[in-house]
Amino acid sequence: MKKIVILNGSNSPKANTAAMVQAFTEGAEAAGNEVNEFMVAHMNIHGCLGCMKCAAKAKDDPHICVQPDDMEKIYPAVMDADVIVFVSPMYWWGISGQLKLAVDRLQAIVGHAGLEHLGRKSTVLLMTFKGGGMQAVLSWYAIFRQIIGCRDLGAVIGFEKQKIAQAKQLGASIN
Amino acid sequence: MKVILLNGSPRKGWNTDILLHKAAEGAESVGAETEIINLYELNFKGCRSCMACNMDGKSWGHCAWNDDLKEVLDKIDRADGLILGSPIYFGDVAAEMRAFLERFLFQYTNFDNGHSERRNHLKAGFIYTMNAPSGYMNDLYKKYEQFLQPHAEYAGTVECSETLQVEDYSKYHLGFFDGVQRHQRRETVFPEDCKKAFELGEKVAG
Repeated sequence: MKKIVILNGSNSPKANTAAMVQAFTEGAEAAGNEVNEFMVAHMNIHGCLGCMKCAAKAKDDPHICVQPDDMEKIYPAVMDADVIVFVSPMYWWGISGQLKLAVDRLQAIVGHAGLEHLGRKSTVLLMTFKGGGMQAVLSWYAIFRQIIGCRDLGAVIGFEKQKIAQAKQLGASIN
Repeated sequence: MKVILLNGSPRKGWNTDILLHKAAEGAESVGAETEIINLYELNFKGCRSCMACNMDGKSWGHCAWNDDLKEVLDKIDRADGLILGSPIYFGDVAAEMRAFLERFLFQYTNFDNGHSERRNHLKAGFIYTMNAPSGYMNDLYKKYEQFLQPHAEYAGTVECSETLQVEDYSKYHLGFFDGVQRHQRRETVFPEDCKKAFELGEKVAG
């Protein structure tokens, strides 16, 4: 049993991306995993301030990040998770700005608990798209993993019907 | 001649901000009027895929979302030059720059024929700052150059790598980075980057 956190950067809770997430979740839950999804585009999340206070040795603030917003709900779930799933529609050969807000803020976990804390986790990438950008987004995903040191469980990128089935299989493969 | 410079870094007075000020000086040196806008001071989000900019009617070709970014997009619409500056966070530009780019690019893209009318009056350039070594993010520069090309004459990229992250490394859990080396680069390489940023400003305004 793995604890899975989904960071969903889609704006629409009912559109294409949602179908992929639903399939992934069904597969993962059927395999006995615990899934916790955050719709980050609908949460109050500010950009990382780059203040580096999360990494300060003389830290007088017990919070993971100094900014009091909805990341306070996401941080404990991510800290506790075995798997982080990034979900986004393809926007300009990358993840959505809303998901990037949350991704940038993961820096606070690195500063607070060390790179190795996030590095112990695995990641999944689910993206809906039709057109270009596949290579660019896989390159981003590879760089993210290279920086953090986490393990890739797989990526499903596309819009075709079989991608939904692939997302379900990927969810079911986690145990 | 008006050049808008967008700061996609939250840190004022630090690397990206300094380079943008140098670029502004460069643009001013050839007679341009400049304005630096700090994206992290504004209240806005990325594209919501509302499709209003693709809907036939008065919003066609313009982002219809009425938040702090609207005025910025309007200013760029009237400007002659645009210089973007952003740190690289986890392999892409900082979130607020990403959000800006989504909204800026999507509104101008014509999906009737797949070709956008180039804004020949606009010249654009990009300044990137990062921890990564030089060349590590080359594909990213190409990506954004390609995206800006249909809407502006692309004047160039300035890469500022292995930046000084904090003044005193001994106070931070940043043991992975060599603070001494970063300070040396700050003294020797950063002034060169500032010069390149100044020249980019001249070029965009020229």
